Amino acid sequence: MYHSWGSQNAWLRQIHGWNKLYMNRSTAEDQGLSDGDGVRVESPYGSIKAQIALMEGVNGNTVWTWNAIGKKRGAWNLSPDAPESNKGFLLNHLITDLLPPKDGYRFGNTDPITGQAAWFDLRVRVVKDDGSDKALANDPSDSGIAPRAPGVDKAAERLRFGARFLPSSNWRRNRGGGET
Amino acid sequence: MTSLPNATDGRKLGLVIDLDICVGCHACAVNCKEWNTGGHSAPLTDEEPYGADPHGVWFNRVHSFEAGDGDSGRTVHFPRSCLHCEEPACVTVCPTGASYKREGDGIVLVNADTCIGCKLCSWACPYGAREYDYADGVMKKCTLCIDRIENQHLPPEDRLPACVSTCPASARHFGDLGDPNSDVSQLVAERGGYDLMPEMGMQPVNKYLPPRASTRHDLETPATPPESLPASTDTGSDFLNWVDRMLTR
Repeated sequence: MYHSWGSQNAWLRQIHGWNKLYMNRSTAEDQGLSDGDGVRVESPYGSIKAQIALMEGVNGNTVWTWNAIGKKRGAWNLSPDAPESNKGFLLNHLITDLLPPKDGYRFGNTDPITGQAAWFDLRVRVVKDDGSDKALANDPSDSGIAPRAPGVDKAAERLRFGARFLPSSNWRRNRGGGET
Repeated sequence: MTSLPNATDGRKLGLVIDLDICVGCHACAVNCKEWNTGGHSAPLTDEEPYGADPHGVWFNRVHSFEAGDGDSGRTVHFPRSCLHCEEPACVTVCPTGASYKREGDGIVLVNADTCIGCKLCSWACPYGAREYDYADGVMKKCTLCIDRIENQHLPPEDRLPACVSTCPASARHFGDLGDPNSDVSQLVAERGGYDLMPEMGMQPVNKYLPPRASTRHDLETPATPPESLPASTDTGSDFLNWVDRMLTR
């Protein structure tokens, strides 16, 4: 879900405000992992923290998640305690956009025919999070809070889309502090 | 408390939702909110929309879960909204008459002008279909889009509930379930449509079509390769030969 393209859509984030890493149940249980465990996901390029959810309908050697939900705290004018910044995570820290040097060139890490970013062939290791590594890319305690962008107002505490369509005599039109 | 209509003319407008087809995309939920935040019960207030616990009024919600273990496991997407029951406890429990069932077509509605926000109806409904609006202080719910299905300003083909008109998989159907010859009634008969929690005695009008049996065993038989694959030819270019191999394997 690419919520960020709509400046953090107030409706979509109610449907899906944070993500988990989905793992095959038997693969996870073989490694001593349980549903809801905190894990570290490591690739050759970085390491992130995530919470796992176990399921049957995923290949045993594959993990997946909903993309583009994790946010830096304060980003997109979300409150710093928003689940996107405290429970969700972003895969980008595990991925590189360039392949290792070859013949003096750095080729893009993309499909050679379509040019599509090669997000789907990354080898990762999933280990139980023991809380020892504080310097992970998405650890909220280290990442600070993004300042509100210039010219952006404080986020609304209540939305009343559609109230303006009611007749001016309707009591519902001006309830709840009016429309924001 | 509030009485149900004594006699109806037999029409029972409602939805038929196909759990075999639904992919859980939430388009029905979002389009429902889009229409209804400007419709009969407008607005559908959102509280803390950018905070830690955003929660708003939705007439339609989708729950996704897995059922079964191992190879028999399957993902089910379950859209949930008002079922417009024939014996709706949300109506009979209402102390003011604000919650009512229409005589002509059986649609269950709330009159916001007489609702006192006591929430008894949300306790009475076993399906969780009532939605309290904290800003307005009244209960709201699915209206079956009465402001679409009867809307003379819309072309006839658009006079459908917003959730039905937007479903990209055609997993949702709208019609008269009181008429055994209607398209929806025949669909229910053909596919074994069922009531949600019939033991509650609400006699829901909306019906759900069950997922069909798994076809996984079909995959265990290897597909037979076509007999006449075009023979690869040397194009004179290593790159084109490689593309040819990739595309014909």
